[in-house]
Amino acid sequence: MTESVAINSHRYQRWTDRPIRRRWAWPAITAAGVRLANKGNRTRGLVWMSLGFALLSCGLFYVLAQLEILAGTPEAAGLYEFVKTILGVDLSGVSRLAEFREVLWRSAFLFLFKAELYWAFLVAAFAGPGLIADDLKARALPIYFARPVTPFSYLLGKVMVIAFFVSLAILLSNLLGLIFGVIVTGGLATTAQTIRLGLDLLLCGGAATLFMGVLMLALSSMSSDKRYVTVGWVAVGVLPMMVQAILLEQLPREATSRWLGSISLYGDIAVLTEWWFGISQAWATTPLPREAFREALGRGTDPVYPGVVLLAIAVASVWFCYRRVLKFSRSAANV
Amino acid sequence: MPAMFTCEKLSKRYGVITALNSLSLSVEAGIVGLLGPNGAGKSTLISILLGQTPATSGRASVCGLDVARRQRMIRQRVGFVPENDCLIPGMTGTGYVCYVGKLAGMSHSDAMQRTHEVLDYVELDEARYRPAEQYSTGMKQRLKLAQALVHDPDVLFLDEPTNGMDPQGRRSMLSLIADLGRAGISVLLSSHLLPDVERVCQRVIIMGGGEVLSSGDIEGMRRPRPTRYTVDFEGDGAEFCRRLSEQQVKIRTRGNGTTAVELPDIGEEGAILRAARETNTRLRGLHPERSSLEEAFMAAIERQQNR
Repeated sequence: MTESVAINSHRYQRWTDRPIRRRWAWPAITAAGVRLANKGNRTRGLVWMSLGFALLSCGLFYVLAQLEILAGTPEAAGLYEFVKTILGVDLSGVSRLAEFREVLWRSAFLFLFKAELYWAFLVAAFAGPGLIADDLKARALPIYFARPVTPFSYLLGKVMVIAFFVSLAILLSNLLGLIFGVIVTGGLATTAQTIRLGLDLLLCGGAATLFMGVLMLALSSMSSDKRYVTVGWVAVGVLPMMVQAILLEQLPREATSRWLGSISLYGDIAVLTEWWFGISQAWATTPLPREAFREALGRGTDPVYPGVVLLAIAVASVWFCYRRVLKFSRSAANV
Repeated sequence: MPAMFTCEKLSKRYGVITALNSLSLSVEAGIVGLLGPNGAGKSTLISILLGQTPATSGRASVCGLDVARRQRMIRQRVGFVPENDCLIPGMTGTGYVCYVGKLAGMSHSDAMQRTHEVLDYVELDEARYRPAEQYSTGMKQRLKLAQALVHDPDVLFLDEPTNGMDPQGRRSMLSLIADLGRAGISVLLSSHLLPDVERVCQRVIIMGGGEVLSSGDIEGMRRPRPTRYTVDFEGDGAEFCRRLSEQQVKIRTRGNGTTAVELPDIGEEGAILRAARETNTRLRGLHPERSSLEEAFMAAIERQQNR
């Protein structure tokens, strides 16, 4: 029990009410990081806008559900056109769409994922640069490493901050869309049909989130000025993405070789996701011609090169930021 | 009660630079000052004791726990106030202290309850809800002390806790440190402000060049000066002082009923008694002066430099 003292006493009171139970430090670091990043108006705005993808996702699956119901009727003509424009899948004349559900949904999620990935790079540019840089600037590292916090816990806590913001866009909205799609197309029967798709979404979204997280942490540990970190992120992540988008838009499809699909980190992630989603294999099981899936099938870029690049960057980022934080932790009393 | 910390032949080398050179030391619980010029190895010692920096050789323990193997447990029992601000921008005082409590392993409700207790203790009152970066230097120092106390440590390492504070704030901070000592918390106070150390510490460790130059009770370090005395007497003492001057006794300072004098030679105390008898002055006290901690510190540094 706490020692009994007069109510106006100003003596120090020992705290022996409850013993301290050792808990994981990283959830506290993540919660504090999310709260602090969310105080910025721009980050908060981007977070709210990320939820727009959930609405977009639900809207798209509502259209697909309607199409399944109206397929083969004159009322479905507009919906066929809409799906062709958005997903690049021409289903004109196909009446029993429920049989094509998995391939159609995979195409829909691939379309959404690529759009969300753009957004995720932008969100990370606002939410991530200060994660370690701000601690370095404020010389706040001693408060972590004079506590029972390991460099691993510290990094995990920080990477989960980016994961939180990025996953709002590329994970949560897709999962909400999937659940909504399952509900509006028949519930349990659809669940069995799309469970693998749900796992693929989790895996691809999670991998992309972690990749962006560790890369951002590595950049953030390089400088105590987060403006430089933002510049680094734009140079590494955003600019190549924009260049790639422009080139793909400007050059005729036949002229763009397969490598053009992966000249940026965005492109690498997109290529790997295309490969993992296996639209080609799913299309091959349908009686539809290849032309019907022209856009959805992508450019067929070999996934090996992007896979090696992303893996190498991820491993180098983890190694680099762990070394940096280990170094900071060992000199924390002198910071 | 185990020693606050012990070191056995503790060494730390950074390449060719030796930060700690075979340091052997056992420091008992209490309030202990850690003194030394820049580069003496004070921060390296604290860093090793916190388990942040591995020692090159030798052993160290805090509260009886080996720093090489029980780092986590040591950090739960130690509070650390770093020299620099180390505040997280955007956090209020309450949020900051609560966050540090959670890093130490406390649940949110425990950390929040304890946060308010320690913020009351360091007198941060309503300012606790303001962003910490808006605090004055004194408030930041008190907030740093609060974060070190939130998990109720047994040992506190304080690195320059009164830096940049005004005299009133310094006095207040030193009384808090003295109170913590009375509450049974052992304090290692590293400071360049020797009067602060002299005021609150019972013992000091003087370091230089990675070695302990001197350690022990402050009173023991302050050596008596055989020719200097403080004399307390009744009356205004004008005649008494004049007579002292005639006997070659130098009047150093003079106040109401007291004067500090310097005798012409060792063993000449009789001159004071003679002057009192001849002027009918009643003496109330005759205290030999001792050297200040600063002089003891400078002497230790000089001895090291002359080696």
